[in-house]
Formats: sequence, structure tokens, C-alpha cells
Amino acid sequence: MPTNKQRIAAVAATAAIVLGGGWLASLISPANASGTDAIAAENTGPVCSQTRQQEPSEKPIQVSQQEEQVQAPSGRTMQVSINGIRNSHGKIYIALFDSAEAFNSYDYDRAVGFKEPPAKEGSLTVDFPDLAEKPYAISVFHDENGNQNFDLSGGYPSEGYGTSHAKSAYDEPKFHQASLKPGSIGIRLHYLR
Amino acid sequence: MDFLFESIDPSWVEYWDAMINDWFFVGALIFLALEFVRYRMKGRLSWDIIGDTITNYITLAMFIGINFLVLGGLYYVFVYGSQDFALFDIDTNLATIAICIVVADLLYYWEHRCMHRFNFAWATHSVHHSSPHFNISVAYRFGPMDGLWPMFGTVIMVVLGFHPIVVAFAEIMVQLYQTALHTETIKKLPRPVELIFNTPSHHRVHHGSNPEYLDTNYGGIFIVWDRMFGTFAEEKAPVVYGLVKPINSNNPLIAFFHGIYRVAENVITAKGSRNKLGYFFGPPEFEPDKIAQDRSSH
Ligand SMILES: [Zn+2]
Ligand SMILES: [Zn+2]
Repeated sequence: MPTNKQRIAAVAATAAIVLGGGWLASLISPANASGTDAIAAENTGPVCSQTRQQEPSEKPIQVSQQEEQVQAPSGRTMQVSINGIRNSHGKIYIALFDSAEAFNSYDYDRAVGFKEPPAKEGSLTVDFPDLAEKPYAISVFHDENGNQNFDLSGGYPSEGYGTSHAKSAYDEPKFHQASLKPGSIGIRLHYLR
Repeated sequence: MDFLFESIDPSWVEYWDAMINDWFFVGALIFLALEFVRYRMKGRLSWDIIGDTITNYITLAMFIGINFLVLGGLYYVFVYGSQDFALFDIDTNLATIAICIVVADLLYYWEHRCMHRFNFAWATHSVHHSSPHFNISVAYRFGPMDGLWPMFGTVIMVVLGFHPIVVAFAEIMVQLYQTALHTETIKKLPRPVELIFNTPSHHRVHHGSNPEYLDTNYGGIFIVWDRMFGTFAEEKAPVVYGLVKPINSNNPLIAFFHGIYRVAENVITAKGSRNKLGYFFGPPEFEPDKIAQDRSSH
């Protein structure tokens, strides 16, 4: 039968191991682990992209399909299709993130890629070229009134919005759920009003 | 080593989960057949063992039924509800799954220890311990509320930030490892294994009603938790399986509900609120307070 001292020590050790386990696991999330990868890719560009050729071969084909993208063959491209745009007023703001922190806090200033094409009813597609082979997450909103702001009313979005890999209007995926390596992705806009 | 850190889609984990779980069940049935051959060769095969085995699988069916009808919805609400409070942003890859299994195992240790030390939880877990035999079918002998208590560990892991599917996977791995320990055919494994991991020998001790074996070896995959926290016992004397007060019945309804019945009976017939509380929250060896009884009999 364990003594009370043993019991307290056991509970304390358990709390430390459980919290430490969660913390350790968060460190090996690709969002953080690939931080060093990104630097390596910038410094040694072509060499890196060669070593990464073991990846499935569909990705290079996708790159070659995009005719406009003639230069910079070293990087990967993220092709983003925005669907469900309800009208052609204002602009669509599309932000690409490589950092979990910036993405999870919607810090658009720290986005690594940013596009603001004029809105077009239905769907439109944009490309983010020259990316590293690591996960990125995408956040989109439709600035219908052109005030360059994502408008909320009563805490709820009053303009259309969307996130990569979001399953519904109320799904707010975290970076590790929303992110994907360069390729193509469709994002549906949700309008609550 | 990069494959350790490649992100995995949780739906794949869900698929492995179902595959491993189902095939393990088939493997366990085959192993059970071999154990029956062994019982036969040792002249130990009896109607009692056959009845016990059938009862084990009937309790499993009742356990699954309760989980499906009652506990499933509760899990859904708590687990997916707690996802919003995640402390860490954790990716799904082999390395994080491995960490999740270690954490799940440690939380299992505590859940299991609590199930042995609080009467209201022992009411359901004592079903698993009420078989006087020890073979792989006993691993499938469950009590009515056995599905409820793991929920605390599940919620803790989801709040840490592990994906609910990864948590479920880790918990199933602990459960399946535990299942495989229910056999007398393996005596002792090599010393380093017995030192770190839970083994059939350690789990036989856990099922023992011998006084020196009571309330020991709660571990799931790792026995180090028991060694660290002072609840370890080594298998020395032959193990007498079952409860200190045996149920002496192969009736599946008696086996399944005896624990709840016993606690309810004790709480209702006990004199004084202190004794009632003791029979509900106290340990299984709780004895009514003599003074309180005297006072109420005056
Ligand atoms: Zn037990
Ligand atoms: Zn057992």
C-alpha cells in the first residue's frame, strides 16, 4: 500500500509527464519543425528541391500545367480556388501562412503570401509560386464593401470567409488541421448574412 | 527518420484503428482455441471454464450495447466539446502518436488504480476481476460502466491538443496490449522486458486475490508506473484468481451486475451517513464504523 507521500509524489510526477508530453508533441508539429527547413530551402534552393524529388510525382506535373509561371522553377506552387463567391463587389483577400502562431491568431501582417484580386461572382483561382515543400494554411475573406477590413457585427462575420480544410462555416481549424503542402486546394466562402 | 514527422491525416488513423481492433479480436479467438487445447491436455477443461468463457463474451456484448446506447453520445459531447480548449497545437504524425500512447498509458494507470480504490467505480471493474480463471476471454469480461471512466483521460488528452481520433487510437493500443496479457501460457519474459513493460506475469498478479497481490500492477503497457508509484508486486506464490469474496456463479447477469448490486445494497443497508458514504466512496475493504452503528442502534 503506497504511503501518502508516495501518492502526492506520484500525482505530481504524472502531471509533469502529461503536460510535458503535450508540450513535446507540440514541438514536433511540422509547423515548427519545418522552420529550419525553410531557411535551408532559401539558402540552397536548387539542391534542396532535388533532394525532395522523392515526393509523389504529381506535384511537378501540376507546376508545369501553369503556363504563366515561367520563371523560378525551384519553388513549389500553391493553387488556391475560391468557390461560392456571391457577387462581384469589392475584393477577395487571400492570405497564406507558414506559421501556426500567425495563422491561429489571424495576424495578416505575418502572412507569407497575400493576394487581393477583384471579386468575381462564382469562383476564382490564384497561385502562390516559389514556396518551400512544407505546410501552409490559407485564410480568405470577401471584402464586399471595400473598406479593407473583415467586418463583424455582433461578434459574427458579416462578410464572406473561408479557411483551408474547414469542414463547415463554424469549423475553425487550427494550423495543423488547416495546413497543406503546396498543391491545389479549393476553399468555399461562407456568408452568415 | 523524416517519416516519423510526416503529417498523417486523422482519417487514416481511424482506419488503422478499426482494422487493428477487428483483426485483434479474430486473433484472440484463435488464441482462445489454443488455450482450450492446452486446458484439455492438462486435464483442466471443465464445464465451469466453458461457462465462464461464454459469460465473458456475454458481458462484452452487454458492455458494447451500453456504450452504444448511453455512453457514445456522452463521449461525443465531452470530447469534441473539449477540443476548443486545446492547450497545445499538436500535429498528427508517428512521433506525436507515440507520445500520445505513453500519455494514454499513464492516464490508464490512474484510471485503473481509481477503479480499484473507490467502491462506486470498483462496482463495475470488479466484473472483470470476478472470473476465477485467467485466459484471453477474461480480457473481454467487462462491467456495465467500464466505458465511462476512461472518459476523464480522453478529455485530458484532447485538452492537451491531441486529435480525438489519435487519442482513441492510443487508448485502443493500451487496451489491446492489456488484452494480450491475459494468459497463463507465458511464464516470464526476459528480464529487461519484465522490468519496463507489463507482462502476463505482472497482470496475473493484478488478478490475484492473494493478500500480498491485492491492489498492485495497475499498468497498461508500461509497468514502470507501478514501480515508480509504489504499487508493484512480483509474481512469486501461485496466483489465486478472482475476488476476495468470489461470486461463485457463471450466470452472466449475476457476473455483470453483482458489483452494482453489492454497492447499492451496502449503501442502502448501512447505518448512518458516514457509513453510506464509506460504502460509496471508500475503498473495497471499507468496514462500517462501529461507533456510528452503536449510536444508531440505541
Ligand atoms: Zn483491475
Ligand atoms: Zn485483467
